[in-house]
Amino acid sequence: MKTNKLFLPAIFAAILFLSSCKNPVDPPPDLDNDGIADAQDQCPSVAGVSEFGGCPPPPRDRDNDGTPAAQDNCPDTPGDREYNGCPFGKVDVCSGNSPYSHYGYKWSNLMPVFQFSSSLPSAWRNETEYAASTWNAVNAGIEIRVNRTIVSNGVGQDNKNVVSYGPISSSKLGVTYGWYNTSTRILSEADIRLNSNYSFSIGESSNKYDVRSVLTHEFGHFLGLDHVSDRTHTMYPEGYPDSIIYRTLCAGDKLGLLRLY
Amino acid sequence: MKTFLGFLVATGVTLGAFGLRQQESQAQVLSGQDATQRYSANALLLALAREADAIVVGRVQAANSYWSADHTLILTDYIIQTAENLKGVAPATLRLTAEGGEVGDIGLVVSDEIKLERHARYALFLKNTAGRFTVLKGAVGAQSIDAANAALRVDVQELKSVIQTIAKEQKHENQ
Repeated sequence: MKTNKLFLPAIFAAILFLSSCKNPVDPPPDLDNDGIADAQDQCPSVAGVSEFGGCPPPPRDRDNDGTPAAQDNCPDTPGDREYNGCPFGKVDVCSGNSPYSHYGYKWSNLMPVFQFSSSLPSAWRNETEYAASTWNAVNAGIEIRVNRTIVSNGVGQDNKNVVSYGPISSSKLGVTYGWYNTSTRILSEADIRLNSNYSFSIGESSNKYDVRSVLTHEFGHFLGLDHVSDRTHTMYPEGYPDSIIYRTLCAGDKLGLLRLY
Repeated sequence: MKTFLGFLVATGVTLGAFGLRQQESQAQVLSGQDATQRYSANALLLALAREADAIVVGRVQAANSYWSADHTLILTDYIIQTAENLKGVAPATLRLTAEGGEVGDIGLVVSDEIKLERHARYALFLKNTAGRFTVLKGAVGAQSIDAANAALRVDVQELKSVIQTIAKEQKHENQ
């Protein structure tokens, strides 16, 4: 029975072979059944994808502002799609338009001089000069100059152009008072006042308004520029807290000055 | 250095306006092509419309300027005939006083105060304080419809659309 002696071990070996093919080893634990073993799964109890280590992919738009997180420069702060997902006021942009508007009045003295009121915090004097120099940099043929002598004057017709700080009723951050001759349309005086009912800062600060930004806007009026409806421009009639975007001018701001002087 | 992106508008706190815009039509006003662009889907308009107790379209019947009692400021009284109430209730005749104006050869412009042209039409966003109506946000709250010399203009149909949107929102909130 030589045949029988060979047949039985062969059957036994075949069974062993088939058995090993069916269950080579025990599968690694995968609690969330996402195909990534728990040992390699950073989120073992939540189904995910290998790209994110076994965790679910992050939401496409974390701040729900309509800009996918991948394209959102401020992914956790709701913003505008036009500003790459950041809120307006935090991104210094110009629209590409060139809006400007004049009142039709201007200085004949192409070097109007302003002074500081004693009411203006001394730390803001440099900011005031920076604001004026922003317009001077346009090289429009007019140059705002400063007389650093401190005066007690504020708003009022006194032949001095004074920058002061004090209360103003209503919701204005700053006000410019311009006196002019109705026949010649020539300015004789302009005073600027910052409203002490608001909190100001130098630079960006939560819930505060940047002194230089507001004064840059005011100096635009000081020179004879009116508002525009494009919010990227410094001559837009509203200001934003925690923002310095209006420190710099857009094309319409500059063009308005160049056309005036 | 600013980069260039699309046009938009939004809300904030009113910056002062020098506003050397004369009330009369002889004022020489030079404007860029976009300076008087109309608001479109405009957040500022939405904010104004939400905040206003009343919104009216009115025509300026009279504007009379005079020195203040202490002779430090020039003030102007405007009389506005209401043509249409778009929101809330406002008197048929509005009397508004603003700093600035012209007396003789002296003119004063106070930033962001309303500066209205006689006979021109405006959309006025009004705040009602115990029966006393004032314009919201100064010049921003008095938007020109047909004034010759206005930096900020509004289209009445757009404004009506904005007001309808707000009304729908409020209805939805109340449900």
